Amino acid sequence: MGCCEDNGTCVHEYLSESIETNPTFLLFGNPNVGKSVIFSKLTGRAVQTANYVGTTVSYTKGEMNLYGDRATLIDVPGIYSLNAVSEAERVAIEFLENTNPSGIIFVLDATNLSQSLELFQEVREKQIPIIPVLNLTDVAQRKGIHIDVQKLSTYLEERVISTVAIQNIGLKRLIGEIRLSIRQPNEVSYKPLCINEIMQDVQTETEGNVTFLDRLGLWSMQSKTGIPIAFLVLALSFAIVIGGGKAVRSVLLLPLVNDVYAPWITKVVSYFLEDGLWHNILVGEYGVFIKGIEWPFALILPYVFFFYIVLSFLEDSGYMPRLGALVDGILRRMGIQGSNVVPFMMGYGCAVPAIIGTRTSTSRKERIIVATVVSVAIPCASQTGAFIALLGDRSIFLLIVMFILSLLFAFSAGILMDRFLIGEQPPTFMEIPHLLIPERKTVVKKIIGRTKSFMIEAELPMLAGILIAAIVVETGFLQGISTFMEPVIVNWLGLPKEATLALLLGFIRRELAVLPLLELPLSITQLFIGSVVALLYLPCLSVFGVLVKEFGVKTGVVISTSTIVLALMIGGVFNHGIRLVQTLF
Amino acid sequence: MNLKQADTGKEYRIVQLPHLPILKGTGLKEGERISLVTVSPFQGPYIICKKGRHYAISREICELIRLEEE
Repeated sequence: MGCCEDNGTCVHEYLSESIETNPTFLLFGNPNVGKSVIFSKLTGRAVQTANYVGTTVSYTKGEMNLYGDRATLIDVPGIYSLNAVSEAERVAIEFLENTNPSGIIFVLDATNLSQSLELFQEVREKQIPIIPVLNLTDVAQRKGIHIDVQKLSTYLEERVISTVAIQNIGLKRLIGEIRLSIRQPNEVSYKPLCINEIMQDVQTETEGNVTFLDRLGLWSMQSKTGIPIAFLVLALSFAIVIGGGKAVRSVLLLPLVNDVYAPWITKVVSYFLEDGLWHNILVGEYGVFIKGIEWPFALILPYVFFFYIVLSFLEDSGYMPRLGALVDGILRRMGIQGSNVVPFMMGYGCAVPAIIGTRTSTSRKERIIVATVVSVAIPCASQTGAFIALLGDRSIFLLIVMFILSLLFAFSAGILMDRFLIGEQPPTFMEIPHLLIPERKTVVKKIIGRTKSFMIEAELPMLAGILIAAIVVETGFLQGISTFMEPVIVNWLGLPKEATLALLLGFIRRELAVLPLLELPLSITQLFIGSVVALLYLPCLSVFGVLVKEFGVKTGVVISTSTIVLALMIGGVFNHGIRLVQTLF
Repeated sequence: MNLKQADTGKEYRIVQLPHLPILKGTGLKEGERISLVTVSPFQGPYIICKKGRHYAISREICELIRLEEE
């Protein structure tokens, strides 16, 4: 459990079942040294890369085409030593100890060579042929660090390949070296290294250039400047997502769907079908052909797209760990480390990778707290888009209140769980990467990849939800359920009984707990209550699935059920509280 | 003195490190030179710099890291 490849294959399954006909290489090294970038370049497989420690939480396998020769490359999570402290680190060590690779491609960090050599030394003791790769040489140069690659090769008893992987520098030489090790396999008998001696002999340091980015990196960690920078980043992100999304939606997409596509498709369907049940299911109030295009593409996609721009930029810039260090003191009150800012931010995109990302946590308690908070109180990109569509036009203030509330709910849920769950709080130790200007190509690739997956993964479940909506509305089934749910929906939450549909569809996807509210004439109070319930309501089916996979059925069911109870409870309390205030004043 | 008592901007040498699994292999070693960059707000971690790399270390670990001034 918890150590699976993206496609669901587990390490132990890989170890017992995988019979590799190709030579197999493991890609090893400390965290955040560019292993996944090298993997991507050598195999052509797109993998998640980012400028923070713990981007890779499981293994990924790919085929290398080495100008005719073929080999398998396995990218494992970065580790600091062979003493694992997190689940992700255990994956890397299991691969080293239980597979029999033809070789190891070991990525050394040119900006922190002594730390890389500590792990290199431990891995060398396994006496498996190693191809050392010295990456990030451009950053090292900027910092005034000069490494004599020839001398380093002599000490390491292997030819060291110097690379700047992100710019494809040195990769051809690396491919040549891999081919050589396939064609002329060697038995190795490495001697122990004297790291201090190597460092003194191969590395010289001069006064590096202190760039604006270096200064900005420092300012973003200091209290006086870090907090205003954090607010600025937050405000800018908000402005880009809401402003950009709204502009594209209202100027381009909504007119296109409502004025061009909808009349055309209604005309086409009306040509074949007369008014009636099927006609209405296809192009009626919740018509699959109309809402199936309008909701995902005209209402949600613009916001999701701009959110992915912001997220990809933040991930690759190295800002997120700085924010983590800045708010570590706050997050520790929830029993978790500041580094969990990363899964939280990812949760604003989608809860599934965020929950998988908790594998880097060093305790189960921490993992469960983060997964619960992400499931309960952090709206995913689609739901955020739905909130903006619902509230943005009526009241930006209400929209901001919703996001502040989501943070308050997240904080309260964390504090409560820290009190009730058994387990120790791990101390914080975080490596903070250099602040970088993200590489344009990588960011663009990420945005396109994520938007594509959103369109594929969100469209089908959303279509299914809209079809269910159309059927329950047009057959009168909704009327029956609404009457049954009236005490909760109308009396307790103060919403019209048609809002039952939102709760029904919310089981499928989170944004579907919001979008049906767009079709109802709601007062500002009702909009607010509906949004609060939707925010806290059950995570979607995919999130439920990943909770069960990562923590087991019991924990998955407990987290999901408590979100429903919490949503209805808090929604009702808000409703009656607001009414009371309205009566008094 | 320990890391919690250090002044920002000054250089120190690590005299003693606690034996914690989380510190293993992180590159922090006894005898290494570090400087305290800043202290995070809200009782947050101490940010240290070692050869141009930054690390955030929680206060309970900082208390266990013994230093001497360079």
